[in-house]
Amino acid sequence: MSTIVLDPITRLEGHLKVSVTLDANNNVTAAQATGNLYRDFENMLVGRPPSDAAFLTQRICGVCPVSHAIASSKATEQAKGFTPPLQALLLRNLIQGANFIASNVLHFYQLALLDYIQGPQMNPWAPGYTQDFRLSATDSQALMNNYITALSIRRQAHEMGAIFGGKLPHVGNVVPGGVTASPTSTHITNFRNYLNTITTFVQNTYRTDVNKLAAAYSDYYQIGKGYGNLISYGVFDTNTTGTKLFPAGTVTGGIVGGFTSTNIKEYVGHSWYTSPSGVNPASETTTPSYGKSGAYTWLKAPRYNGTPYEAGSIARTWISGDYKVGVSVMDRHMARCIETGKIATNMQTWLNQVVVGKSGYTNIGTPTSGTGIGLTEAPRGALGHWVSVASSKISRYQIVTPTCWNASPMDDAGNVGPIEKALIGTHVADTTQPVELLRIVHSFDPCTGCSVHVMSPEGIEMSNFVVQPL
Amino acid sequence: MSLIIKDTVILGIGNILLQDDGVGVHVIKQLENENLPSTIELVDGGTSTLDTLGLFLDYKKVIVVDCLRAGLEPGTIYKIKPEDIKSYQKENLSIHDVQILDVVNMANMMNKYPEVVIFGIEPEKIALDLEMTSTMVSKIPEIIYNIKKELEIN
Repeated sequence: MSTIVLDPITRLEGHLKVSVTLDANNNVTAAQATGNLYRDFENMLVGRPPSDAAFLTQRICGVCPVSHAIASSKATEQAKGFTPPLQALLLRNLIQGANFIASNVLHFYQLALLDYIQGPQMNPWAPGYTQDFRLSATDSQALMNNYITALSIRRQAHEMGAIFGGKLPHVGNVVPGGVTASPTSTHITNFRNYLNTITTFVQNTYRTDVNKLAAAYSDYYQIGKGYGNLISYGVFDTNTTGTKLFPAGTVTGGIVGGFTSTNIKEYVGHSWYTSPSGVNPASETTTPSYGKSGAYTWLKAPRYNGTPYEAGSIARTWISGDYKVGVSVMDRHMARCIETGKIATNMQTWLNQVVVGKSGYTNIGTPTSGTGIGLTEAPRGALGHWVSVASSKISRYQIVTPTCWNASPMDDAGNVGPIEKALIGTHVADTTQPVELLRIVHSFDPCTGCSVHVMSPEGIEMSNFVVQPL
Repeated sequence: MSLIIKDTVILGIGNILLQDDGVGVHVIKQLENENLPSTIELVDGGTSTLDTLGLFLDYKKVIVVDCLRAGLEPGTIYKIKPEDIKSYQKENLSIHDVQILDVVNMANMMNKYPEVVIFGIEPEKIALDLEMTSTMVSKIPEIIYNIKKELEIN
């Protein structure tokens, strides 16, 4: 028996430690995923006006700021009893769609691809693993060229989102009441120009490259399967009556079923918290207790009907019927690519529906009391904000992020989390280069950032760079 | 469309929810109140470091302001250039979280080579709080003085 610890796993957003135990044949028999950052931004919101939450919660994370702003706005709108009109929903779709495209393209080319091909021999890409690279030198070079093109596409997607989102990365325009933007015909023309270029890349280059990878690594349709249970809260409203491009739902044992938010409960038996376990986020509390016996992570364990579920593109495309082949490392990449194409296509439709000169914002004031749930999807999966308001101030706030679902620890009933489950049973060919494990973890597009960005250069004599005090 | 060509950007990075970690963003907020030359753009990059790539492609000079933990006295201001650090990349060097250097490398891969100067400030405390420590707050004028000196603004 031996163990492998990957800490931190690089090329993902934030810090995640994964420890696995191997048997004598180098097969994984146990796995633990550890989120190393205490994340309790919610308590900071208590006592503030509800509208502050849309601005502050998107600062939690640099990767999904748009989805946090939308989830938070929806929660406050529900507390106020307000449903945004179509113009607001369309503008949100266009901003969030731009973020999904940017995030999915980044994930494939910048975060996942280098598990399969040799990167440039320069920092931060070298030194890297050299294990199990199967593509020809020509194909690898072509992918590296597209890696650079993808940087430009991602940037254009980002600029496209800023047309209606306002200043990015942290959007100022997505607020309770809608989107504070009045589209001009120039905005729409500029948006369409970006979208055309991006759509061509997504439907040709990205699709071709994922297929190329899948052909060379077809065994990865059998690796990292996990439970196969999937959950999505639904995203991209296409009308004011709740129809969504990707509907909310669950997949249990391959069967698509409904979704009810009250079936969500969070367990903390193996997390560093002493607050009550098995509580719905609407009434949950958060009391940290680092080092608690039997615990190994700051992440809680959200469960649906007491069962672990996986969130992400694969959940969305399975429930919508756009891609429902399997659940595995390669299926996750396929689903992400296919949904990106579908989003880009539908953004053309939404752009055509936007009314020139019409504001997407309604002043709804502040809810004086009540509760609201804001459910949406971030690129990496189901995202929920639960707010309670009393005397026009936030009295309780809970956020359950997609990576809480995927990188969650063992729950109180002894069920491991989805990433942990996906690792168990995997054969590691070379324990000094456990590339199989990295490919599994990266396929979930985990983000535990939330987001300490402090620079920490190690091995550099920083006293050489001190600016002399005045 | 503005007729003024902006060739320099000052980019503040950090998480304002985490006390001193947000110093870069707080410096940008302060600079927004000052009368700077019209050639200078100010950007609050927040926590989305990887989304700032476009700045490194479009501007000739990028000044980055970020929290930097190297272990010296809290409030210490470091001034580094990516090329300074490259010369150290020989032995057991690892740089965690220096995503901004990844972004500089990406820009270089796209054949853009802006001049990059990083002002890093040693934090006193990084914890959940919107207010920075008084040590950090009192350093802001000195940080701004050094940025202006770098940009030769009087």
